[in-house]
Amino acid sequence: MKGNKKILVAIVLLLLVSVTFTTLAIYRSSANGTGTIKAAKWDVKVNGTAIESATMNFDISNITWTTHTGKNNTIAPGDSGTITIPVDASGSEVDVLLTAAIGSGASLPAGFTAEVTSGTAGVQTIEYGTTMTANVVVTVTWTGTIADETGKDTTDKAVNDTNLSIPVTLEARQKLATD
Amino acid sequence: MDNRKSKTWDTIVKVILVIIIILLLLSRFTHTIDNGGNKEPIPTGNETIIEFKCDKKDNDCQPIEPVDPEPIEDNKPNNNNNNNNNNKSENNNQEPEQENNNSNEEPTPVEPTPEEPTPEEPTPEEPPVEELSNEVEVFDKDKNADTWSGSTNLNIFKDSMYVAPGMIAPESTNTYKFVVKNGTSESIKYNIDFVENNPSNINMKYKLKKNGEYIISEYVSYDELNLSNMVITSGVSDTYLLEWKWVSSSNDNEIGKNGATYGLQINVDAESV
Repeated sequence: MKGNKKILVAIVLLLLVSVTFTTLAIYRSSANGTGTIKAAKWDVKVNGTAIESATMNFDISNITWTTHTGKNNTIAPGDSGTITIPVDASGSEVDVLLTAAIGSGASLPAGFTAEVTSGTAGVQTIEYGTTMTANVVVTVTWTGTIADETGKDTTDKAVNDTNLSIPVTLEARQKLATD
Repeated sequence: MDNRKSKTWDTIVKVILVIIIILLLLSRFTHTIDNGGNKEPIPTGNETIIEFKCDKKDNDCQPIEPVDPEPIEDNKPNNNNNNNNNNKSENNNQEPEQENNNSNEEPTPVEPTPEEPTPEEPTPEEPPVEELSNEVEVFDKDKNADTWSGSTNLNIFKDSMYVAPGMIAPESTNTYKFVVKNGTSESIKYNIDFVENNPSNINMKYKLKKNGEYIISEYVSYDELNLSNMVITSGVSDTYLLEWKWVSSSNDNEIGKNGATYGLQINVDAESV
């Protein structure tokens, strides 16, 4: 038994030698690297509410009239006013492309017009790194000229005590290199 | 008797152990590297096989192919010599006449016969031999010439337009270049594995070029980039260009609201062939 053990030891030693030589003959190595990045934040709010795309409805009470040429500080043909919608993109870390348009279903009395007058054709960019706030402005105009006080025409009278409804669609998205 | 045998056997085992140790030590010194004709012992300890470094200024770290020297016609010098000799002899014969003829004329300047080069084979201009680093190197060739080691920070995701510096957003895209160079004296084969850290599930996709040619030409996920058993011979480099893009997806706004991070790890493992 002792002899067998010794033979076994010798065999193990020989194996050890052969394994050692074979491993010495092989190059092995590794290297690695890691790249990390953060995703830019996206946060656009209108009146404190986060939006991506929204339709907001306005009526005559939302209009700030520039002129009141009617009697008793009322509006009359020729007067105009604006609806201002503040947009806050200060929580974003990308340029924001803001698009505003008068939505379908606008209800306007005869002679009234409404259009988005901010930006270019309703499109404006809020650039990262600036204050990142912008206003969407809708201008409402009562076209025509006021008739004299005693001769108010039928159209003027029809507007009396009426309301209007102006839906404004807003879309805010990340500005791309392709824009 | 048994004790004697046992002692003898113990002695034999000890001798074998000593021989093993000696052989191990000798193998370190006898296992050499052919470094430009000089055999040098390999350094002891851990070897970093992968280390890519290109000292050249060209874009691809390709081995410099020796430029064949311009063939030189051996006959030319001899022929010229012969011709000149002939000419000289002719000139000698003609000289008196020439002198007489030229006496009334302005002497034409005689160009001295240029010394003929000795008819020896000129030493061809040998391209500079790039010393082998005895390592396999990986490095970011664009900005950081340091060799990758351990866990290196890589500038894979560079700035994109209309995005805050150091950040990416949907549709952000750019490239990243890295080089694998075999600075050993043997051919090696290597594997490249890509591992993503993407807890917010950003829809990041990749393409891959090797030495200027697409090996993955369509945007794919990171796990489709892995390469295996890429063989390069001694002194040769492989240049990789990784193209990445955040492809827009339906969860982008959610990612933007919560803030997210993204990471890509590139592992290169090499061994001798």
